Amino acid sequence: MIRILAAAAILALAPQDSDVAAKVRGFIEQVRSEDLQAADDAVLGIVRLGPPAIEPLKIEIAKAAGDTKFRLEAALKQIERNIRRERAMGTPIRVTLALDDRPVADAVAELARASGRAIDAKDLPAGNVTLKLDRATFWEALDALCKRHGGVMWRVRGPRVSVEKRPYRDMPKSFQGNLILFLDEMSATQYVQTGNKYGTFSVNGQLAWIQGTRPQQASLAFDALEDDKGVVLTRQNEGGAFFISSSGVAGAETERDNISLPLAYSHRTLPDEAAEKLAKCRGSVTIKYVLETKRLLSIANPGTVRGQIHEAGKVSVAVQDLKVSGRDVTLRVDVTSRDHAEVNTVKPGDFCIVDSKGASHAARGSSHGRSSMYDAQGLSITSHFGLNVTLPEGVEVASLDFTRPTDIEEIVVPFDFKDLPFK
Amino acid sequence: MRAQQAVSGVDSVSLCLRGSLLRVLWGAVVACSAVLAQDPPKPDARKLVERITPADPAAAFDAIGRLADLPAADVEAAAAALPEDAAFYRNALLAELKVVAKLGDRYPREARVSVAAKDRMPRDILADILDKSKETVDSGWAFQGPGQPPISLQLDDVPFLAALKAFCKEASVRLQSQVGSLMLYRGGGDLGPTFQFRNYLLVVTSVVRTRRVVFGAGEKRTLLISATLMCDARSGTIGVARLESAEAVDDKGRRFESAPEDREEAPADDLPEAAPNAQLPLTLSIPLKPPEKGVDKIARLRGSFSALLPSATSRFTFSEKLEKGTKQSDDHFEVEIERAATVNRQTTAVLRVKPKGDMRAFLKLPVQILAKTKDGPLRPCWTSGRVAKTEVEYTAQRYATGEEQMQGRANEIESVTLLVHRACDERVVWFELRDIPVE
Repeated sequence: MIRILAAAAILALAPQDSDVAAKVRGFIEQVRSEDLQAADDAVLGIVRLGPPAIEPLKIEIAKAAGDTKFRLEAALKQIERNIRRERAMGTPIRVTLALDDRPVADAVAELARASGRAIDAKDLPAGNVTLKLDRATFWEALDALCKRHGGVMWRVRGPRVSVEKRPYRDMPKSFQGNLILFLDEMSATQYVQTGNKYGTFSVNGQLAWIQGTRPQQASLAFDALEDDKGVVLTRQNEGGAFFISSSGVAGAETERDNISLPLAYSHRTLPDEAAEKLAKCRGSVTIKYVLETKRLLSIANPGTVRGQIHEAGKVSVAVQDLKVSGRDVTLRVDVTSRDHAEVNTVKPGDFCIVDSKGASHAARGSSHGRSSMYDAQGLSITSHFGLNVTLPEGVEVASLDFTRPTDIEEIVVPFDFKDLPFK
Repeated sequence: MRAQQAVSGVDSVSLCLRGSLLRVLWGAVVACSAVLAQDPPKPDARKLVERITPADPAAAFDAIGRLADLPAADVEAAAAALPEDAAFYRNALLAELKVVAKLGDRYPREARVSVAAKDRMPRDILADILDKSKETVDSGWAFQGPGQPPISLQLDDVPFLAALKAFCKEASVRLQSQVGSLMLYRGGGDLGPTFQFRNYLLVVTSVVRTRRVVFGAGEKRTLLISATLMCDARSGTIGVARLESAEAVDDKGRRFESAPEDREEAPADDLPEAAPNAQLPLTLSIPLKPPEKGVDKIARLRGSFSALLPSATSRFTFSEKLEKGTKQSDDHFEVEIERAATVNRQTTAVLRVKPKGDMRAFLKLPVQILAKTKDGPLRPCWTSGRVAKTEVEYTAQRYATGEEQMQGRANEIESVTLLVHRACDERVVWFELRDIPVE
């Protein structure tokens, strides 16, 4: 029975595969063209065929030579990268809803069902919602639902999305695929001290995504930030007790399970006391996704090699301690390099424990601080990490792997919020 | 009574004496012996109460501090005579009597100091104050470099922290409190607006005007007064629980409205990543609404706060074996050393604490870690805690004191003490600050 079904499945797929193979072959002639634009278009055409084109493409690459082979290999690499990109960034979820006078709790449950995303909802107030949406993104749908009701508001905390009983807030926000960028608040703080006045202006927001995808880093930058009294809030102040970079970029590695990242911008110029709105608020968030990593080091039985130094590219790694308590593994690991920038980019997520059954478990944790040392070769910086991993039942620690990103995708989400009222 | 007996005992002898000179001399001896045999004269509650007036809050609170040591009935009777414009001080006094009754023998004693120094070196005067009060201050950083000029200081029976404040002003040294230790640094001297009462010195550390706009929910303007609570060693205070009340007025008597701080509670089912009470701050935040234009200072800020005094504490001292894996436990907690070492004059101790009861209840308890080096004092550490499912890992850092740095003393770690305060008494402290600039 299984064989019959398998054969049927193969027959069902075969025409499609052969169609793609035929399309790939059709592009080959164009790839060979001396017209460079035509050749490039053909490569693009192959890439657009996506993953089904991989196998036929490999066959054609084996037969090709010279520039044609080079171009076809480039197309194959691009398709493979697109697969990794989609895996990292996720296929955009689209939601179609037709809610007709439904209690808000039911409406939230319907959105969760339609999107396949869990939404926590407890003690929601009375009040019904009528909402029609066609292929909206998850975040657009969630925000629209809350806005329509008015007495509920969504929240992202840790790995969870929830809808809570509190007044809806129409925050400045921007949607892109599975991402939402929103500005939460701004504050102007002036320190009153004897003979010394200085202040800080800050804007705080969040970038949120959906479970299953994970940006590695994000940073916020403003191109224009100005109040309605003409004060340019990105302007450099002269002098002062301390200085905050005008680029105002803040970013952090995302916690593995969290689905949001705080974004912050700070500067020294304060809005006018009488200002009532931000007249201009334009900028972008740059988000980095790791598409590919490379294992640089694998330390077998890491609990038995405490203090030993293992070279891994530009850095060296030493396991200072490993403790197993039930299923919980905690490690202290030092990463040292003379290349300061290299040490700065090492994150807890670059480490993983491989268990005795060969499964890999990414580490969580944080850097506990740094130390530096001078020797004959100059200064070296050591970053001290505290890591923890929870293993499944019945396995042991086999090795500690150290991996580094080798392919990073950077995307930019622009925003342009005009006339943001303060009251 | 004893003095009366001494006087009557010698009167019969004097009858046998002849000659006026002898009589005069004997009279002087009698008078001296009577004075020597007497207990120190007890201050009169009524006379102390007379010193309580709104015109001099420092004198008023000094009197309240002294009255707290007198019998409550006498004080209550005397307090009834306070006029209506001193109602705040009467309430503060009666509240302090309640604290005395509540704490009983545990009511913190105060060290009082007198100084009569003329053209003496600041370091010597400080040594005198510390010797008389039996208190400690890390002054290593204050007296480095070129010698300071001699100073004069006249203090008559003042609390230790009042003496220290006056000393700092004269000697131009800056007083700071770090993790509960009092530190002196060179420069500064004038602490700005302060309030001193018995074992406490409240110092205004910052005045901040904030305009916070929550997009989609409006704006809020706040004037936040932050103060550090400095405590002497006798106070036994480990933290500030909360601000109980605050009332600020400008110099025309107009009130500043209060502006409660927005606090967002984490959901009950989330265990925090960091232990929230790893080290209780000795700070006070007083949020007010900003004044109208033209008001440049708070003329008077009165209020009260609750200080925490431990009443039940689990104490674990690791002194002989500081190796990893060394454990101690009591009925409530199991404590294990993860590591303890001194590198580059900085001692780091990592301790794992496993509560035997509920983890959430444990996370609400104040925890302190103190470390002692070979030649140095037992000293509170900077402490942070990371929460795992069943335990909290505390990292404590003890930096070399100024004295240790100055003298280049070896500061190898000798012992680590972990204190988990399972229960605390709240001790209400009333305060009054004057002339706080807000513009």
